[in-house]
Amino acid sequence: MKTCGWMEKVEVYFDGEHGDAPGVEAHVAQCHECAAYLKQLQVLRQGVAPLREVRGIEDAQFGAFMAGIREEIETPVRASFGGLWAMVSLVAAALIVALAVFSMFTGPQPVKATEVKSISTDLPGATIDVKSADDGPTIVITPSQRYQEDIQ
Amino acid sequence: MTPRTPCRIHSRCAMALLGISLVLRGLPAGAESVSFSMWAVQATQEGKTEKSYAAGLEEVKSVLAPLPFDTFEKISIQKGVPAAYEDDTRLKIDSTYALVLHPQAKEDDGRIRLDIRVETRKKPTAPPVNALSATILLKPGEKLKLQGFSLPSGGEMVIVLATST
Repeated sequence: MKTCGWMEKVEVYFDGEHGDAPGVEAHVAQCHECAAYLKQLQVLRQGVAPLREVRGIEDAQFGAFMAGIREEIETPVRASFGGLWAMVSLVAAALIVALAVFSMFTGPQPVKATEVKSISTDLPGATIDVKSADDGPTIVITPSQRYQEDIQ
Repeated sequence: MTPRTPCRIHSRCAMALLGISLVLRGLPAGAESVSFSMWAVQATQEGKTEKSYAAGLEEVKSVLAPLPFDTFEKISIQKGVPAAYEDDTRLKIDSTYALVLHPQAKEDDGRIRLDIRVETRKKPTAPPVNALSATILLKPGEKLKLQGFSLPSGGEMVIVLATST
């Protein structure tokens, strides 16, 4: 934390931009805090110095440099499997959504009317008939006269 | 860790939707049994000017009205009887007749596929005879009439059968 009022001047001096360099140096000689700060700035600069190195391209290397760029530009692009998989995934998702929507909205079939599929009787001589009406079918059995007499 | 792309997220949502919809659609309705109601009525022609219906037959009055009888007496009414699929459920009507229900399955369209038998005995000790055997597809809410069963006391018996599920 900066406590001494000269510290900003020390920073400008460190960057070589302060007009009153002797004044700052005189203050740093007396102020332990600013002296320590200046030392810290110098250590930091030494630490980052390797990062500031900018590799230049020599004239001799320039042809190879441009050839490399040209090669990258002119080489045909290989098929991207990432894009293919994304497309497959998208199509699969669309199909699944379509199936889900179809399944939800088609629902069960409409209920048909009551239907008589088969009829029979074990009563000898009896006949059976099916009559259809709006309110549903009627199965009519007509027992033989003898059976009716037996029952009654 | 593989990042979740929008496609993968959409796929998972879609699969979840599909699963939910299939589960909802595939739920068995009324799973193991089905409920039936049965009205057994003695129908006679007594020369009345206006048709008369015994108490308890209000629900089937409109179904009985077109029949060529003028008097309808209650023999047996059994409502909301549960009947297990693939099993016989016997509804005793009187000492002469019994209705046997054997639901097979619920069709995709909601109808109940069932076998029915009307058993009759000339005497209480005699073995039952199938007066009627039928396989029907019964629409819930619709009524099936079985007509023409002779009664010892005269007239004939009409059976009205319905399912509410």
